[in-house]
Amino acid sequence: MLRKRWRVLRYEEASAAFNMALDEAIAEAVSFRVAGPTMRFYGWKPAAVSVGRFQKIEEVVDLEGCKKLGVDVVRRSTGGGAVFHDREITYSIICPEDMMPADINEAYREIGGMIVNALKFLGIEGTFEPINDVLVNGRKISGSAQSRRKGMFVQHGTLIYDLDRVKMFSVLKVPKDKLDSHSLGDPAERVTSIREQKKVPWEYATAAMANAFIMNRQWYSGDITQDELARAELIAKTRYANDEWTFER
Amino acid sequence: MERRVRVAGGKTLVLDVDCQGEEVVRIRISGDFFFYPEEGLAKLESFLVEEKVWKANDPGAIIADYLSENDLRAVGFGPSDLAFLLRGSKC
Repeated sequence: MLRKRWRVLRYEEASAAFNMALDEAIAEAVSFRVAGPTMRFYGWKPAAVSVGRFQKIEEVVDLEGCKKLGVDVVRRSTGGGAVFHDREITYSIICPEDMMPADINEAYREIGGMIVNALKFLGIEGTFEPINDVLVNGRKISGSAQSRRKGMFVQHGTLIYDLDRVKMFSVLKVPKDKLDSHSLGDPAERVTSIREQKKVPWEYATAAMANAFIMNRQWYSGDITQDELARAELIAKTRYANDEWTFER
Repeated sequence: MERRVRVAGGKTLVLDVDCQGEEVVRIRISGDFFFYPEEGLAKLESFLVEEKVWKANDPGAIIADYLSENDLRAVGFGPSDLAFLLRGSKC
């Protein structure tokens, strides 16, 4: 049963490449059974745009805008769309695949439900919107991306705490087909944040997120091991901070 | 040559076909969908070129069989969406 006891890593901020690499390093450690299933909460320093594994980067990211504003750009190992990470709580859930629903959509729904619960703790009513979003009053407040590889399950996602719409849409490009398909014309109006819904302090938001994720689970507050850190640094350098990977598409 | 479709459910699926003369030499699939395992997408792209799937009577069925036989899963688009973009590809 120890295998089902979750290691919970406290909120920390790091660069985009390191954040992505650490998820991968932890997944390796869990798959080698040197670490247990892990939940991680983190932020991005500096702010960053992450693009989905299969996206054409120049189509969805204003690279000049990123450069001007000092915003990092990284390609995730997971699919999905481009995300601007600034004042948000990002989470990762990393565990053997058999600890999560076998059905991909069901796993999105289960973790989406945890985010809905986090919002509920803050007095905000959210709804899960398949495939991978959580909405508040029809506006996106959270998105997630899941990967299943070699028996390992990794899902990472965001909960937006505060929004700088001008900055967000100075670094993200919205393809025309996306613009046409929404009833809300202005893409900036399709997103919202915890702060817009309720003026709660940051600490409340992070606590709500952690509480929703550990609810009904066995857990302990853990640390990243030195091996995981060293491996993450190597993966960051060779993959996520490498232009060959970032500009692959 | 680029073709794109906005799939029911909101994801974007884009197909880029590279030609050399009259021959299709490469197909790239991109967009904000999910594909499991992720590495499998490159295999699917090669399969489409090698088997000239766009010339088949029912490309959707061929793609569905390939995904199933190779334990690949697409979330956010289906074989029929890809078949729609592939149909009639020409250089």
